[in-house]
Amino acid sequence: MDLSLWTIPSLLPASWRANLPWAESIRWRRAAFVSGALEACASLCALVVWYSYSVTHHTGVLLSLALRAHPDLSPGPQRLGLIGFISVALNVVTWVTCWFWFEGVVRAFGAAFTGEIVGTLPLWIIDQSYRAVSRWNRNRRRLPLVPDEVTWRKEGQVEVLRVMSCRPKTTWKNRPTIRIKEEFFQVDKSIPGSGIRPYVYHLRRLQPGEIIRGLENYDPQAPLHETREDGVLVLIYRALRKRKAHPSLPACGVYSDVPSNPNWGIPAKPGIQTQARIRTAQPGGEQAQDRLVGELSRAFLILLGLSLFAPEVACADENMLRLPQEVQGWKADGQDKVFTRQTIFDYMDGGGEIYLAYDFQKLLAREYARPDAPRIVAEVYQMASSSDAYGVFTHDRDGQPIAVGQMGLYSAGLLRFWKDTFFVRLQAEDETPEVKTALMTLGNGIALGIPQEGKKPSLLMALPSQGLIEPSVHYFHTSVSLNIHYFLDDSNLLDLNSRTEAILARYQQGSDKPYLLIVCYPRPGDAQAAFAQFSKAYLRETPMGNAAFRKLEKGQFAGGRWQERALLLVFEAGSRESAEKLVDLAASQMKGVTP
Amino acid sequence: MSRHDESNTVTRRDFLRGAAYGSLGLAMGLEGLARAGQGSAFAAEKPLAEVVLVRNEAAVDAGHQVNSVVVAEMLDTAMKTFSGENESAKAWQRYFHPQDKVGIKYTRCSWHRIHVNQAVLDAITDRLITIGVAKSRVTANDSGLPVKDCTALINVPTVKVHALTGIAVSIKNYINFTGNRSSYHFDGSSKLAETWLLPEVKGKTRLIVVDMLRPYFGPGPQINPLHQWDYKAILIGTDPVAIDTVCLSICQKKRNLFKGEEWLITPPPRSIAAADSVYHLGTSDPTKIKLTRLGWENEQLI
Repeated sequence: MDLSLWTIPSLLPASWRANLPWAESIRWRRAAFVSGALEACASLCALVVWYSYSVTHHTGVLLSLALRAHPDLSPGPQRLGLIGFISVALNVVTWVTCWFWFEGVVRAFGAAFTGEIVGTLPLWIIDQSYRAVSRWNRNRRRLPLVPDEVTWRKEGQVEVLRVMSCRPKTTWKNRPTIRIKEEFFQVDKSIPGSGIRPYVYHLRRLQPGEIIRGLENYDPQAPLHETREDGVLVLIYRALRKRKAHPSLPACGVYSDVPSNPNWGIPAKPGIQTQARIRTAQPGGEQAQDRLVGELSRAFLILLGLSLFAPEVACADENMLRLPQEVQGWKADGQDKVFTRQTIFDYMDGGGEIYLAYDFQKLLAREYARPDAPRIVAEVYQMASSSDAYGVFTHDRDGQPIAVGQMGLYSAGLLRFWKDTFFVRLQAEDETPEVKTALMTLGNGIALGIPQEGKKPSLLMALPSQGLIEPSVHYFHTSVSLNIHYFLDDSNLLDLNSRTEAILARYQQGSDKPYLLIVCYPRPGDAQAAFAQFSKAYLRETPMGNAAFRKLEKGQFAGGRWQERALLLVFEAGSRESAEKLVDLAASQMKGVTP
Repeated sequence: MSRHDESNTVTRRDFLRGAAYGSLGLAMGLEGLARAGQGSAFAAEKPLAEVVLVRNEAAVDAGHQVNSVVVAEMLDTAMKTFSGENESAKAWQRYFHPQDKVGIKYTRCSWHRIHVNQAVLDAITDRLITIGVAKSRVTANDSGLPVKDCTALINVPTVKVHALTGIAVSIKNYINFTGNRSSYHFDGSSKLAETWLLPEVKGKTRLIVVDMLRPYFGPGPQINPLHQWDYKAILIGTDPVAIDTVCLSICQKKRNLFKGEEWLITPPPRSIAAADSVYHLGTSDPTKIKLTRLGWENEQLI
């Protein structure tokens, strides 16, 4: 498309740009650079014209007024020049013109050096005003105002005070010291809760000698009153303060206490305190260099004070897959929808958790329609890695294998496959022969548009091949996924998290079909600790070495061992020997695997 | 590594042995939970809750199209049986009055595509109008139902196995009445029943009509057509816990049938157990539920 046309959309705020129907076809970086440069040049020209006009005009007006009052006044040329300069400098038109020159320079620099697409301030203000109105509307639909529930709870060996609230305690996220009557507590952590009081805080008693940080008084019995969400000006003030307090944070970041890792996503814990992870999509090999340049450039933006209207989410529009406009009479209908980690719940409230349990980046959804035919929905999920694309594909493996993409599956109007870092899901409202043909054509077209195949997780190599029921293999990270495939416990016994890799598979051993679970932890020692917890809570025994097996209720065996960073567990084995053999085989294959 | 609070852990073993989640294991047909001497499941002689299940083979055709006439007949049959009245109008009059402002809370999930069928909603609305409730006083909606203004509610859910809740039927159907739906998916969705006790909701539910024409038994979150089947049934009751327990039992058996082995609904549906033991909304003990089965008997699964 004509670049000159696309310079205009680059002025829009990030959220507006993401919803443009042709967002994926725009080269945003180039468009933003050109529009920024044009804006700066145009503003500079306007400034010169304005100065030329106003310096003579305003000086003349001021001089005539002065001479009317003081006829004997005879200002020299230097004083006249100064009067002209001051009159121009104090004029609002000058400020506005200067602002747009300044903004143009920053937009062009931002696009050129960091790839950040910065919209224009007036539209950003309109966007924020709209959001403020939306927030106001949300305020009206809040949870009922009920008193906090304060209880004591044992966390390991420590007693903590658990405060469950129906509203977030915004100041508590900085973990201040809390005074309740005459006792002092430290906010230890905030965790997502559920129900009518979804904001949960754990407070521990302040130890003698411990420093008091930002003391706050708290009275659980205090009368309740509704607080409103912050308006635009408060948000701007907060943003400025945050920049000042955390200069190393990304321009559009939200504080997160989860260590960042380029290979692993931080699952945005859904619900109340969703922690947005900010990720700039960059080609893998240039990440470190780009990060350095990015940080420098962000510092530049901060210094300029313009980071206020930096885009909320650095997005990978340019990398997102393009879908065909028409397939066998089915035409794209309605606007494409793009969802990120922060907005996935807008698309599937109550289902986004499954995708967030993987390193989900973005979803592109498009509907296709043909008169008198079932509609087709195409969903393309972009994951951060091919392992995660494979993983989310393995969530549900019921279907007929077909040769589309990698490991394509078809089932009554639903086609799924993964390829590279994409998981693709095409679903028709009903299945007809025409629908099936269209789905195949569409699927093949999308798969061909993805140039390279993705690598499966290397952890799969640890699975012994003998007796493996391949469609039973699931790859995942968190206990949310584990408990869907094999409910183990409801309190994350194995300490799975976004940085653990896990595979679950079943084996056919005669009439028995044991499960093999392999978990690889990021740090040495984690596997051992998890194994100890598992043995104690599940096997109900304290392990003597690095392995333990036990016969359970139905005459089946469960157990396993830990080895370096890996935990290997077997469930529902027919005998101790078969359980041990499966674990030993996996352990020996695990030695050659470096996830 | 974070410290693990052992005392709060419920393991698979606890669940299978019935040491957790009350009697749900019994409803799910788990081994080790057949407690002899406590009566048969869903055949209580002195029931705490009654549920009527009506099935009709003609309710859904081979192309999965719903027959609205048959659905209306099924609803009438179920209501007459449940109320003990001979006429449909009298049966509805036992639960609703002309001056009621009735809210019909149905399930419509655009991304999941498991909706309550229009035929069910139309049949309910028609019956309300028949007994004198003005059409303007009947509001049907999924989200945005003016529950505060309603004097009576009819809970009209679908049935779907849910990746985070275990199963979503009548208890979960009121999640829209909260301002923060996703937050209820934590802790195994154990607090879902709380939505029934919100001040504007509590005590208003007069009837539960479950659209079980085409339930979903797969893991989700999105629908796999292989996991949806034409069960062709409507359930009626007033106890949400008993209703959900019946649906749980049916879906568990369908899953086992599909895989040819035990395919446990996971995570365990804590919302049902908690609705019984914590929120006391009803009973989840199959031996205290009386289920009346009417109509088509093929693959009844309960």
